[in-house]
Amino acid sequence: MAGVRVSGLSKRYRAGGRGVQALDNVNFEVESGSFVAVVGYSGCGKTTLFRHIAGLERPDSGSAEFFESADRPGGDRSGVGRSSVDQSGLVRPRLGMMFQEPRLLNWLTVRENLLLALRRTTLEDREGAVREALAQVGLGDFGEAYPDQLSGGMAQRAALARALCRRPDLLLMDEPFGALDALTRLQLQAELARIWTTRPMTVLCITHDIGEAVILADRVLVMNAGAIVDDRAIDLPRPRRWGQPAFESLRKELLDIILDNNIN
Amino acid sequence: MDFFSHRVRKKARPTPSGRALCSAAGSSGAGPDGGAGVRSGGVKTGSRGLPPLNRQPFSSRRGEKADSEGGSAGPGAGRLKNVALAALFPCCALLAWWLLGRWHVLNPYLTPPPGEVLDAAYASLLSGELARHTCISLARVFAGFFLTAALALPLAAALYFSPAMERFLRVPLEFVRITPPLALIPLLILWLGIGEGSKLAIIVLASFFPIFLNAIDGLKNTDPRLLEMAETIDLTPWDTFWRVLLPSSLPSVITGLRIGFGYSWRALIGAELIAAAAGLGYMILDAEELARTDRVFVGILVIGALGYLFDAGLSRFAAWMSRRLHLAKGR
Repeated sequence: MAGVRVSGLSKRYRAGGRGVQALDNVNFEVESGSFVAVVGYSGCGKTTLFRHIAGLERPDSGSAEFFESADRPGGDRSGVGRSSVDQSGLVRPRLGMMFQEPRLLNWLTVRENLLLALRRTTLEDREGAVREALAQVGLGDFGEAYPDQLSGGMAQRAALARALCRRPDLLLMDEPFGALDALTRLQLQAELARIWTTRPMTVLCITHDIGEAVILADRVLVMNAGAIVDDRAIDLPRPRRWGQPAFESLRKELLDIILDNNIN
Repeated sequence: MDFFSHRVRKKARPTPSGRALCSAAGSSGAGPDGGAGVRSGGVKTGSRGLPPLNRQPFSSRRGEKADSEGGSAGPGAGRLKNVALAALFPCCALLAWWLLGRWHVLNPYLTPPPGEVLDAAYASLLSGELARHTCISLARVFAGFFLTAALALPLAAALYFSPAMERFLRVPLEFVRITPPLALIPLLILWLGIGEGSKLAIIVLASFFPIFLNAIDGLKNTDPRLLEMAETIDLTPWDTFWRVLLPSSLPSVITGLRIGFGYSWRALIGAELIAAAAGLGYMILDAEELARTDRVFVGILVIGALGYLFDAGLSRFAAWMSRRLHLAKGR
C-alpha cells in the first residue's frame, strides 16, 4: 500500500495580470491505509493540491511523492494492485481517481468504461473486477447502461466503481460528492465509509464539506490561502453517525478554525 | 491557435485548473457555510447550485440546422403537417410555372412549361442518357469525396497532435483555403488535362476544407476533463485517440463530411460545365448549345434533387449515428 509525502509544495498562477499563490510551501504526509480529508474554502488551493498529487500539474517547487509501506494488518490484497517501483526508484502506486464530475465516456457502457480503466493494469480477471466494483457501489444491474441513462448519483457511483475496480493503493478524490444533492451525498458517504473499512487503501479526499470530512476521515487537514493551517486527528468510533454529540462538536470546532483563519 | 480561430469555438467550460484559478482570485466572497452543506437532519442549507455539466445535444453544434428534419413533432398529425409545409413551396412554384406558361407570360423558348420539361426528362431517361450522365457525375463526386476524406481526416489528426506541423502548414493551407477552386480550373486543365484528373482535383479542393476544419475542430473541442480522466487511468495515446478523441469528435467530423459533400457536388457541376465530355454539368452545357432549354431544366432539377437527397441522407445518418453511439459529450 502507498502513502503520500508532500514536501515544500508551492505553486503560483497568474490570474488577471496578478499572481495568485495557490500553494504556499505545503508539507504533510498521509500514512498508508489512512483516510485523510482536506477541507477549506473554495479557492484555498485544495484542487490545486489534488492536481499536483495526481500528477496532472507540475509544481514550482517542492514535490508530492508516494511511498511504499507494509500492508495494513488484516488487509488481504492477494497480490493485485500492489505498488510498483519504477527505474528511477520512485514508487508508482496504482491510483484510483474521482473528480467532482463522473467523467464517464458517454459512448461506452458503464461496464466498458470500467474495463477501459483496467486496460493498462495487470489484473487477470478484469470482468470479475468490474462486476465486483459495480456490485460494491450498488450498480450491479447497470453494467450495460449508458452513462446518459443514469441519474447524477448513479453516474457518480459508476465513477467510484471505476476508481475502485483498479484495486487502487491510493484513492484520490476531488470533491467527489460536491455536485450531488444532499440525500444522495449522504448515501454515497456512507457507502464510501463502508467500502473503505472492508478494503484497505489510502484515501485522500478533498472536500468543502466539513461534515463529510468528519464522518469519513481519520484525519482532517484544514487549508487556507494555499497552506495547511490545521491538522486534526478524528478518533471517533466507526460507523459514525450525523448528529452524535462528539461528531457535532468536532464539526463545530473545525468550522470555527476555518472561519477564524479566513478573518486573519 | 489563430489559424483555425474561425472554426474553433470557446471551450464550453474552463479547465479545472482555470476554475481553481478563478475561485482563488475571488475567495473572499465565499459564504461562511461552505463546509456545512448538510445538517444533521439531512436538511440542505448551503448547496452549491452547480449547473449541469456540458450536456449540449449534438444537434445544437455549430450553425448547422438541426439534424432531424421533423423537429419535435409527434409521429402522427404533426409529422404530416411538417411534410405538407415542406411540400407547399415546391407545389406552389410548380403551379405558378405551369400557369405562367399557360397564360403566355413566359417565353416557351426560354422557359419551357413543366410538361415539356417532363417530356424531355422522360425522353432522356428512355434513351439512357440521363442515367449515364448522372452515374458519371456521381462516380466522380464519390471518388473525389472519398479521396478528400482520406486526405483531410488523417491530416487533421496529424495537425492536432503536432503543433509544429500546424505552424509549418499554416500558410500554404490558408492560401489554398482562401482561393476558390473554380479560379484554379484553368491551371488544373493545363496541368491535368480535361480528363478525370482535373475534376477530381476540383472536388478535392472544394471539399477538403470543410472536412478538414470540422475534424480538427471536433478534436480540439474534446472535453479536456475527459482527456484528463484518460491520463489518470494511464491510457496510451493510441487508446486515448480511439476511445476518447475519435468518438467525441465524430459528430463534428460527420458535419464536415456532410458540408464537404455538398461543396464537392457543386464544384463538380461547375467543373463539368467548363470542361467535360460527360456528366450532368456537361449535359446542361450541351443542351444549351443545342438550344434545348427543356433539357437544361431537366439537368438543373436532377442536380438539385440529388444534392438534396444526399444531404438529407447524410444528415439522417449523422442523427442515427449519434443516437446509436450515444455520442453526446461525456458527463
